[in-house]
Amino acid sequence: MNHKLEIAAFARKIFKHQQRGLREFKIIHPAREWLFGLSAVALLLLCLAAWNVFTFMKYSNTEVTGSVTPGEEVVVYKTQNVEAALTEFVRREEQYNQLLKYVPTPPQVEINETATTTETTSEASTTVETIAEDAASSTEIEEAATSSTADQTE
Amino acid sequence: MMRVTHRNLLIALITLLILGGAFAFMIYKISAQGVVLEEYIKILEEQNTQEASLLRLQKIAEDTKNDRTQLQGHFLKQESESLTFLNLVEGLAPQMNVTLETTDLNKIENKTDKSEWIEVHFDLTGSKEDIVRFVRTLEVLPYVSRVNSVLLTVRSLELWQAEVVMQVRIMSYES
Repeated sequence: MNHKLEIAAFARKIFKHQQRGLREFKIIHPAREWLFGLSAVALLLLCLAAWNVFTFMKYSNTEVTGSVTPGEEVVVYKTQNVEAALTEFVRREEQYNQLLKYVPTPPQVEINETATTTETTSEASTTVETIAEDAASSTEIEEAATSSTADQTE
Repeated sequence: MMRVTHRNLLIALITLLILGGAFAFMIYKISAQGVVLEEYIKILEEQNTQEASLLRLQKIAEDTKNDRTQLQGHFLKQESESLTFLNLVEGLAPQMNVTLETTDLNKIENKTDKSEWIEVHFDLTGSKEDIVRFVRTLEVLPYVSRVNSVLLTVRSLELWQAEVVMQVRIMSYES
């Protein structure tokens, strides 16, 4: 009997111990868990604060410039070309006015005989020079015609 | 675990989830707003660039108005203005003792630079000096013009004839 009682007491003790086991064995440490939890939250808050500061600095230092850089600038008005063209037109106007002022002299020599016909062609860029050359060559033709006329007269 | 602990743990988890969600939402909104802000800034910069370009163009337009008007006056503004040009040339001819006849007039386009020109063919008759002087005058007419060719023929010692081809530029704008 005693043996039975001892076993029952021992079992009761075990179950009783199991019921109060958590209290007695200290598996949970509230202070430690709170420390871990609060540390994690504090770390999270610090990260968020740092990210916020970074974002704030990123956008607070933003400057809206919108100016045209020299590389992108498109030349829309060629001042030098316009000035050169205007200078050229001033020069042409002066020549034009000089030519208009010129009073033609009446022809002094009258020759009845028809001279030889010649053709000359000049290109656009050198018209004046070519005409001058043509005039020189035609003078020779005139002289030849004059001399032939003189020969015939004799 | 005790019931109170269980309850506290549950409350803590729910609170953590709510706070985590709120933080995540705020982070997402901040990032999204940052992207929107960057786009706004880009648009604003483009607008500022366009505005600066416009102001610069306006300034150039105002500053160069006289030069452009002066230069514009040397062009034929349209094809019909070739009559004005012809009147000028035909008016000059008698002053220089030259008989002038306009034999051809047509509009041509330069294939290289797409510029448009009025090409006029003249027949000149007169003394050699007068014709040369007249051709020189044609070269310095107050127009954007060029004398392309002169075919000089002597009819007699007094009478010379020249076939002149010249071109006058019609004003056109590059697109």
